[in-house]
Parts: sequence; C-alpha cells; structure tokens
Amino acid sequence: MATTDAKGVLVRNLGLYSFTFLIALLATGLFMVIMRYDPWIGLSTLMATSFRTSFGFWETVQKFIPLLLTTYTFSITYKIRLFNIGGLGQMQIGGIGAMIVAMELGHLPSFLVIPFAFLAAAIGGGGYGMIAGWIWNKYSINPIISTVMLRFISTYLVLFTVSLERYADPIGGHPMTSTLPAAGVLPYWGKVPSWILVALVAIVFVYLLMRRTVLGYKIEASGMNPNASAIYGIRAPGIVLASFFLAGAMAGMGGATQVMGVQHRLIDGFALTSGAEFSTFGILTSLVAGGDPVAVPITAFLMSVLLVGADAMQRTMNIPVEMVFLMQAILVLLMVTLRGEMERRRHP
Amino acid sequence: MESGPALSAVKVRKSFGSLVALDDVDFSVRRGEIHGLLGENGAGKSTLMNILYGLYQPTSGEIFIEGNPVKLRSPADSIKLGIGMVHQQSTLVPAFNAVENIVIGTDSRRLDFEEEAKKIQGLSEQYGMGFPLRTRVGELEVGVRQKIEIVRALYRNAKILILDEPTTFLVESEFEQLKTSLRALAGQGLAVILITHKIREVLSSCTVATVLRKGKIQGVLAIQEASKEKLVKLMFLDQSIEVTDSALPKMEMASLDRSEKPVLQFLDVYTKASDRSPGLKGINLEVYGGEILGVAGVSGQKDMAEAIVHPENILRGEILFKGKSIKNFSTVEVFEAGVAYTPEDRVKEAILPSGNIVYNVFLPHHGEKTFRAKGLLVDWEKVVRVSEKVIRDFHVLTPGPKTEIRRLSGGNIQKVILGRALFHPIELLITHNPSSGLDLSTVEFIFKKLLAIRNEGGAVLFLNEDLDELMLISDRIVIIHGGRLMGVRNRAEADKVEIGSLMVEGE
Amino acid sequence: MIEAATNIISQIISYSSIYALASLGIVISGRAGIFNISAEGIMLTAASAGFSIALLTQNWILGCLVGIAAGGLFGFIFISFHERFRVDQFVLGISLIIAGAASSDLIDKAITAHGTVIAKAPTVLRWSVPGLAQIPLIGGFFDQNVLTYFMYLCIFAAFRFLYRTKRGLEVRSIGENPKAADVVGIPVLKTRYAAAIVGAAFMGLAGVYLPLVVTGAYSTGMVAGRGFMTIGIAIFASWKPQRVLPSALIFATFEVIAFQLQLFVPQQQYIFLVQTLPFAGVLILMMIFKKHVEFPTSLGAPYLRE
Repeated sequence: MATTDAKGVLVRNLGLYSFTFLIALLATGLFMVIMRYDPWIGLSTLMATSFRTSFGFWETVQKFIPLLLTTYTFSITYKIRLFNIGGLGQMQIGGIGAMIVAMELGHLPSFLVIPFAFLAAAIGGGGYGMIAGWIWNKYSINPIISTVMLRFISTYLVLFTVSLERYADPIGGHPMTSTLPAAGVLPYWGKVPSWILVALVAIVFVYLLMRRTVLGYKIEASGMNPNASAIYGIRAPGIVLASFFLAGAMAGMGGATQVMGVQHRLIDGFALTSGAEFSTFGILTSLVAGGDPVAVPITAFLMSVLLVGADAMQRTMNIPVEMVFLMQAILVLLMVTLRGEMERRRHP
Repeated sequence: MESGPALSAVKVRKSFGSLVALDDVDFSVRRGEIHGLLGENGAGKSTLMNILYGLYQPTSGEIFIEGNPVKLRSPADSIKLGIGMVHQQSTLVPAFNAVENIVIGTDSRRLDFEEEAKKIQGLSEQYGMGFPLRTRVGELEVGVRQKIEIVRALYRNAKILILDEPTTFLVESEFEQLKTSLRALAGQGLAVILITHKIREVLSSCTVATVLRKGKIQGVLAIQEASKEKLVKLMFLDQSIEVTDSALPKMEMASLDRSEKPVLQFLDVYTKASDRSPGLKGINLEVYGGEILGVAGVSGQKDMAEAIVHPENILRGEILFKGKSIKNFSTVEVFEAGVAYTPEDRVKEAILPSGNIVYNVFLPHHGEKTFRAKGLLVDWEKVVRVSEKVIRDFHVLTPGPKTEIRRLSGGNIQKVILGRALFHPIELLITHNPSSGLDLSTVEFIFKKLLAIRNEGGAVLFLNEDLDELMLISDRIVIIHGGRLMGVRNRAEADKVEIGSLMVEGE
Repeated sequence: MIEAATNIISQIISYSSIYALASLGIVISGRAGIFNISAEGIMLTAASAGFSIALLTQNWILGCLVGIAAGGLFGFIFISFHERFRVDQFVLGISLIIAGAASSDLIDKAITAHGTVIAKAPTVLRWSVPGLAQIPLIGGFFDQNVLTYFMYLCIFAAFRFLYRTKRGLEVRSIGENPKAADVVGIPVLKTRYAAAIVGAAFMGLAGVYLPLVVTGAYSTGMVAGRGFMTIGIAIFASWKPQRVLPSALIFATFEVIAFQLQLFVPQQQYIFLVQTLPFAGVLILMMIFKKHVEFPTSLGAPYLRE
C-alpha cells in the first residue's frame, strides 16, 4: 500500500507506455532510413525476433533474468533519490563470489553448492553496494561518482581473479576461469532456464518488501521526505545502507546467474550483453517503468525483446546495436517527460 | 501630492486551475499613503502582490502605473516601473553580504565595492535603517535582513513599496522602528502597501485600509473612519467567531489546577549549536499536566522540540518525562512513552507529500507494535481505520483516506498532522506554530483541540514565534533568547512589550 | 633523471587538459545551479564526431569545433528538458550519458561502414614558449599544444568573470538562491540556458581533445570513466574555476603514475590491480578533503516561480 489505487495507475500508464513506445519506434525507423537501411525489415526484426522462434524466445527470457535484477538494483536506491549507476560492479563482485564458492565447494552436491553460491553472490554484491552507501553517509560523496569508480575497480578485480593460477583457464585466449564443476552449474529444464526462479522470487520479494514491510515503508518515506522521516525517527544512514545492500545483492544474484547458468565460468565481460552493461539496461528499464511494481517485469521483458532484436539486426542487416541503445535512451527521456507532464496536470 | 493613484489594479482575476484566488479585484494606492491590505490567511493578499511584482501572471485584468497601462511579465518589469517588494520569506542570497545583495541585478557593469557601499550607507541612514555591509547576510538576524531588503528596493528608486506580512518575525520594538521608517518613506512621496492579517497593525500604522476576503474586495476605509469592529465585519464571512485585534479567535480558558508533578522537566539542558541557532544553553523548566506552556523566542524553540524528540542531541543535562530520564530513548521510544510532535513547517517537516493520508498517518507510528501484522509486516487495514477516524474527528475535507495528502488545503493537512498525533491518548503534545497561514475557523478548531488536551489533564508545549497566539492560550509563557531562559510569566501578568524585548535583546 | 621527470610532468599536464576543460564546464553550469553529470556521454560523442571530422577533413580546428558543437547540443537538450519539462537533472544526465555512449559508437560505425578511413590523424598545433619551456621540471607548462593554452586562458577568464564582475556575481546568485536573483530582476532562465550550453561545450572540447592530442585514434569507450572523475574534480575544487587546474593535475597524476607503474610490475595479474589506482585515488582524495568542500546552495534544484 503506497499511493493511490494501483489499477488506475496501471491503466493510465498503459496508454502512456504504448504511446511513447510508438514514438521511439518511429524515431528509430527514421534513423534507419537516414542511414539507408530498410526500416520495415529492421523494425520487424527488432520487435519480432523474440517471438519467431523458440530459440529467440528463450534467449529473451535468458536476458530478462539479469536485466530484471539489475532493474531492481537501480530502483531500490532510486526510491531514496540516490543513483546507483555502478550496478555492473555489484554484479561483478557477485559473480566473483559465486565462482569462488562453486570452485572451492564443487565437490559437494549441487543442492548445497548452488544456494551457497547465491548467498555468496548476494552478500558480495550487497556488501560492495554498501560501500557506496557508507561513503555517502560518512563523506557525502554522491553515489553517482562512487559507484562508477567502484565499478571500474571491480572490473580490474575480475581480471585479477580470472588470471589467478588457481582459477585461470590454462588454454583460453580471453581472460576467463576454467569451467565450473558440475555441481555449480545451473541446469535447464527442457528449454526453460532454471534460474528463472531467481527472477520470480525477486519479483515477489521486492513487492512484499516495499508494500508490506516496515523497512519498505521507511525506504519509501525517506525518499518522499527525508526531513520529515528523520524527525519521526527514521534514521537516514541505516536506510541508505539497507537500500544499497539490497540493491547490490540483487545485482550480485544477477551476476551469479550469468556465471553459473550462462557461461559456466567467470569470464571478463560476463556482465555485459550486446557489448553493453546489463546494469545500464537496468537503469533504462527502471526509469521507463517508474515506481510501478507491475510495470517493472513487463518493461524488463520488453527491453529484453529489444536487445535480442538488436543483436539480430546487427547480425543479419549490419545495423549497429547502438541504434537500439539510442532508441532506448530516447524512450526514457520521452517517458520521464510525459510522466512528469501528466503528474503536473493532476496537481496544478 | 499627485492626483490620481500611483498604482491601480482593475478587475484582476487569478485562477489556479479551478481554484479562483482573486475574483475581479480593484485595488489602488496613492503617493504618500501607507495602505494596509488586510485579510485573513488565504484571502488572496499575497497572490495580488505577486501579480503586482510580476511573479505571477493574472488570468485577466489590467494594471496601471500613474494612469498608464502596463504589462508586468517578470520582476524586472516591475522594478523598472518603480515597484519594490519585501517578501515574507527572505529573498536574499545568504552567502553574499549586504552590498552584493543590493547591487545584483542593477544596470551598472562594474563592481566597485567601496563606491556602492558608500551609496548604500547613505541611503540606509536617510531612513534610519542601519545594517552591517560586509557580513554574510545568512548570519544576520531577521529584522536586519528586512531592512536590507527595503534598502534594496529603495536603491532601485522604488516609488511603490510592498511589504508582505513584515511583522511576522518582528517584536514590538522592531515594529515601532519599522513604522517610523515607513512614515518617513511615505513622507517622501512613496506609496507604501502593507500586507497583513493583523487588524491592530493596520489601525496603528496605516492611513488607508483595503479589506480582502476570499479573493474579493470587501471595502476600502480611511483609517480615521475605521475601527476594529468595522474591519472584522469586512474580513470574516462567519461572524459567529469572536475575534481579537490580531484577528485571532477569542478562546475561553477555564481556570484549572495543573497537575502536582510535572510531566516534563528540563534539567540544565545543553544542545549543539548549528548555523541557524546557538542551541540550548542550560535550560531548566517544567511542564505540568493541565497546562499549556508557551515558549516565546526568536530562535531556540526548535532546539527544545528536538531535544525531546531526538534525545541523542542532548549534550549535557537531563530531560525527564514522567519522572524518567529519556536520555537514551530513541525517537520511536519517546513517542511510545506518550509524546506527540507537530513540527513547524508542515510541508517540509511533517508530511510525505506524495503519499496518501494513510501513509502519512502511519509516519509517527511506524515503530509501534499495534500496527504490525506478523512481526515485520504492516497491518495496513488497521492504519486505514485509524485514518478514517482521524478524518471524521478532525473534520478533514477530503474524498477519502487514499487521497494524496498534497491535494489537501493547508488547513486540512494541519488537521491530519494533529489528528494523527492525538488518535490515542498522549500526555505531552509538542506543537510548533500549528496555526501559521491558516484561516480563522481552522485556527479556532486547532486551538480548541489544544485546549481540550489541557482541560483533560494533558500537557502542551506550545512553541510559537507569534506572541499574539502565545498570549491567547498559554497558561504560562517562558521566553528563550540565545539558548537561555529569560523568564517565566503567568497569563495574567504577561506584557507583550516586555516579552518582546526579552525575546530580542535578552533584557 | 630530471629529464625523465620533466617528461612525465609534461605528460601529466597534457592529460590534465582533458580533466580541466570538462571540469570547467561542470563548474560553469554548476554556478548557475545546473548539475550536469553527463560529461562521460558528451565526451564520447564529441570524441567520435569531432575526431571523425578532423580525420576526414585533415583539419584539427574543424574537429574541435564539431566537438564543441556536439557538447553545446547536449547542453541545450539538457537545459530544455529540465526547464521546460522539469525533468530531474540527474535523470537527464544519466539518460544523456547512455545516449552519448550509444551515439558515439553509432557515428563511428556509420562512418567506417563506408570503408575504413586510411588517413593520418591531424596533429594539433604546438607551441613552445621560448625561454620558459626550457625551465627544468615545470617547463612543461609552456611547451604544450594550443588547446592546453586555451584551457589556461579559459580558466583565468572564468575566474575573472565569476568573481570580479557584476554579471558573474549575478550568475552565482542564481546558483545560491534563484528566488533572490529572480526578485531583483536577473534573467534566471536565460542565464541558465547560457551556462548549461557553454558548460557542455567545454565538455565537448575535452572529449575531442582525447583522440586528437593523446591517442591519435577513436576507440569504443575511450573516455573510460574520466567523465565521472571530472565531476569529482568539480566538487573537489569547490566549484571554483581557480581550483580546477591544480585539482585536474592531481587527478591526471594518478592516471599517468598508474600507467608508468605498469612498466615496473612483472606479473600481468598485478598490473590489473595497479590499474585500479586512479579510481581508488579519486575516491580516497575526495574522502580526505570532504570537510573543505562547498557547494552552490541551490545546485541541482529546479527553479519554479508559481
């Protein structure tokens, strides 16, 4: 229970989303024309690749999982008006944690290894996120700067870790570890990636947290009015640490799913998709979806569709994926602007 | 004197969406007048003045200066035409000194500090308004800053000077000084407009009065023909509430025996200084059940409230609530012990603006076990029921508990703030300027609630910078200055002038 | 030994121009209350667009102008959306970072799609101040490319403007208390537009400086976080132009030292750890000097009249 009725907000927003999405698509089509590509084939490849083949669909689901998690990474701290744009770093530390547990405890059965690995990832990612929160509390350094600095540091930490003799792949040309032991690998259930469970649990968890727990209330209240919240006993520093921990833990889990489910090893670049950071798309998704808990998974899935389509466009038509990234950024601007304008109409 | 008005507004209308703030208002002022624009809070006075100063645009209507029609699209336009304004909230740049503040925005290119300083010194002495030129304005007192704002307008050759509720932060002695300066200015041919809701001020300092009620002009009177009764009749639609000269509702205070033991005690309390206040420096006082203890002062009230509500701020000394020390209490524990608090700035400090009423009602009670469902989960149904009760008992005008609180009027917001504090019995209410900016009937409602707490044996710590309000319903008044207690006065022996000088000078 | 040190110092000074130019831009907008964090995105786009033009036309001046224009365009988009549609400054900044990153690669791919450009990158004019350039150690300040001298000039001009003229005082008043500026008739909106566009233009120049002067080529993601460091520098300098250059020098030193250290570290793994130095250094420095930092009071806040 937060603001006014959820259903009315969703219906209003549905119209808004569709409209702005259409405009963004049109803008992309325009770019394609300017760069002399066929807009019809381009746009249909973009939107339909996920649905044309079973492979395309499950590829989309696979991207959706870490994307959803990194969306929560940004949005949880956004609730208290802090911008955690270094989610990549938290994802990377989570991945390192998962890899180490999988490697070291790989002789144990997988029903032990996998939960521990996720735990390590959550604590690693959460702890790494909390560093930025702590820096903000103590030194007032904006998380925009600190999370980015940390994210560059963690990229090198990944490179460092994968080149350690203990873990490094003896053959590989690319910086990566050797394959994880079987107990640390997440299986597919037919075509379905088993780690879809992580995404589903995350959706339920975030919903319950924000809508039904006292901690969720404290986070929301701190974001709405930090002054009033502090006056009535909600201490900001604790909320900051808690939010950053939760946010980082989400990203960490996302990193673990990539390491244990997709690549089966820790590899430089594991937290990227189509050459860009998952957490970047998480930020874009979060800004498009706003605070609406129903909109987040839907928007995340839509973003995944676009990413799969972008890959297909680059493969088959040589259209650079960056065109889709640009479209997504434009979509964000439009959504945020339109949402603001609608808010203002309702409260003159 | 010139014939014809210096400034006139004709058929000015201003609506904000469906809300009509000014309804075909005609207003004019002549040179040499001190013209009071009188009306209760929410009547539209500030809106009209903001239009005259170019900050708001009228929905329709015309403005004339010396008989010529003008368009005031921004303060720059108004300034060029000779209109100067002193706002209720300071509009100076705290990081700059007086000279810098006065000089910015004017035409000359170069910044010759010494030359400007001399000019400004001359100007301010001409009207008896001296102030330090080289100190950062943020460090100066409110009364001094007001003088700087007046000289800032004069420096730009203002012929029409508007002052918006100038006495909000002044005590008697400072008000007398202001009156002298205004008379000097009017004598020089300026037209002075004084916006206020205090009848007594209009009667003692103005030459003409225009009364505004709910966006409509009710009448214009020369002061010789005006009287308190006539003005009250024009100001208020609801004549059932009897009114004092400061346009406050007359309140009945039954004589009561206060409790034997004090509910709250400050024992030599010290708190940290900050940039807006020196903190508390050894405060000793008691608040008893069955009394309203008023706290008068220019600053320091907030520190008192925060010492109680956030005991971790106490540097030295003890605060006892019902005989027990609260030094190691957390804020949540203080509230659970039976204390409630309504802060000074209702929008910035008391509510979650984008949350609904239920969300806001929960704010002071988020730590209470009564609202928990299963350990960490919140029992929102219970909070909704409590919110509905608050809405009923406090006559909050709203479609329902799920309405966003910022859609409510200031008065209704204050009612929610007070209502959520009182829905279960408490023994001490700390309330800071609860009635600021509210219309008469809401003020009466709120004061009645405070008196109800007192009459039922509760204690009220009434923090207020407005001496009129303090003297209206306090059983005793303590005066705080520079973090120290200057004295205690009983209701019967309280004298406004004496208290005022204690507030400002400390003697 | 002295020669090696002089060379390193020269390199530091050269690198510092990137930081100083972008930081100056952030400071200029910041003094008018605009907190533009999109330097990383602007620099990437300017690097890509500006360098491509410079390569195609073999004219480094044109390249610089394109970079400046790209920056100005981003600045215009930023301030328009902020003032007209009241979009939060940080949300805008983040969106523009992403848009800038995407655009930079898009432009690069679009140009190379028509065939690789085989040309030598034009070099920026250099000038050695006779006499001064020969001074050991600090001679490097006077033996630089023209853009670095331009940077010295701009810093000096910005300082003089903001702190020695009335107009500059007025600009600063907008960053401190826009309501106060408005009520005395200062054109708040126009000034903020100007500050945002000019500030972003500097960021654009910083962006094109990187491939033009330092690397001689454009590559994906080449700004590598420097755009974010320049935000740190602006804060570290307490938003004062006169402190930007020393701050930029310090941060550039981290970068150059980390680079040089690599030559002394035998194992590849530890080289990775050395490369974290600039980023850790930024954070630690900001933490140490936190107490001395001042912000313009109304930075990042939108100004609304009604």
